[in-house]
Amino acid sequence: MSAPNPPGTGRVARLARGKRPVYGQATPAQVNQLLAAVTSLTAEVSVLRQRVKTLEALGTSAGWLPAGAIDTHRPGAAEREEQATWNEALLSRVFYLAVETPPPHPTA
Amino acid sequence: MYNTTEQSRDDVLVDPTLDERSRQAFAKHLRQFVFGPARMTAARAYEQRVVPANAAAGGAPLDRKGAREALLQEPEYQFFSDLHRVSQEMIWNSVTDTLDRQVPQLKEEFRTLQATATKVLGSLTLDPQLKIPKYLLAMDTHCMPGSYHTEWSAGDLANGALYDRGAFLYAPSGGPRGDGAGRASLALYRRDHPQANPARILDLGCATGGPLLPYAEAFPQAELHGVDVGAPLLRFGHLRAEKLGIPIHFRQADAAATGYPDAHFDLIVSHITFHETSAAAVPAIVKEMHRILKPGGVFLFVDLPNVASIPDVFQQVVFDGDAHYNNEHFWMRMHELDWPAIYQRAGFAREHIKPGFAPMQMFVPEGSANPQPRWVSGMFGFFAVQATK
Repeated sequence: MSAPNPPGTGRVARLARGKRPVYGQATPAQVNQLLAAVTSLTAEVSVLRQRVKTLEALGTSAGWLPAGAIDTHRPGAAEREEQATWNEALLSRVFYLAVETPPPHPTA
Repeated sequence: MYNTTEQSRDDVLVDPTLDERSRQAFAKHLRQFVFGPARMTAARAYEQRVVPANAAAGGAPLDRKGAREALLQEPEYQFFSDLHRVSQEMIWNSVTDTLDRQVPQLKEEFRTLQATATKVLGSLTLDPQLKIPKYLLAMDTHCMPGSYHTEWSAGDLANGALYDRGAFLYAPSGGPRGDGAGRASLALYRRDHPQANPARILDLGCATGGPLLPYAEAFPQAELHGVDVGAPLLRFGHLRAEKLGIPIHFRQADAAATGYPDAHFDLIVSHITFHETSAAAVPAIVKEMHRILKPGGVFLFVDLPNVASIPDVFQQVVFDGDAHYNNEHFWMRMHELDWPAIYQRAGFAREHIKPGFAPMQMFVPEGSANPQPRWVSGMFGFFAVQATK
């Protein structure tokens, strides 16, 4: 998993150095904005799901995807490992602000 | 690399769809993210800000309480703690959809099993009048909605299935069959009693029966019993044991009043149960175990480690977070009890009481870096107390 990114690891830092705009406690309006954003993202997940289900239904009616084949699919060890690796990367991307540490200044 | 263990399918009885499986895997991975990078980030904040600030103020080295108070002000710890709670809730919630669909089928399987009672290997004795102990009613233990005893419908198995699947997602290192804690206690028992061949074994707080499975393998002639307060756990455990072909006799009872005859068991084991009881309940439970143990028999329990024995104060605060926000309310206080004195008052002779440790047994699944699945000893040891009557 992504350790902080000290120089010499060969990994490009995910955070720029320098002061971030942090304005004290979140106001109710800002919390409301965040809620609106999360709700909108939830809607997009719903839209994506509908598209995937449509692909499945069309695949089944066209005969190249047996009905229920996806729901009854059981990922094997290699597939689970791929999923775990992907989730690990996904979480570090989503929460990069929380877990990345800015690199020290090269001249410091 | 996150743990990729899959629960063994033959005994799980609950079959999530692919979407549900993905959601459950994500919840499992989120927990590993929380205790990996998020915890490490908070650890750096502790080392780089909290400790120097305390030193600069001329303070004595921080203990768990002082370190916790300081960390509660740190955004990195707040993030870790917030997400820890969210991940815990996500684990249980990710299983609920599957249960909504499959509990009617589980109940049907259970009814079929009861209708064919002559073929049943073990047994199930429920007590509908049982008064659930106060320590379990105060909150939902480890944030599992409904805890161990709630029946959402008559004859319910849902919370048994919820516990069985959720506990696996919480700790996949407990192995595909959820028997890691049983392996840990068995290793300790075998080390100290290499010749023992107990004829009748009880698991106190047996939940769905996972920790008894290694005992069934180790002592195939032994009569196996499990006692717990939660009827849904016991129904599910009974169904699973029968499906696996392992005779286990399950009973619903309070740990302090089990109803078994005097001097009945050669060995009583217990796994991660006491920290979910209370200071008031412990002496009565130990006394009851002494009563139902045969002379020469052994009572051995393993439970969560004493965090005060961990040199890293930050890690102590991490574990303490479970007591505060994961409803493991008695974990820290359990270790303030004088266990040998409690055992002595229950009737055990001082020279036969042995506090100690049992290395945790961790399952490493098959994967690209590990061609064969295997069990290894973990970095933390269970707190263990064993006593011979």
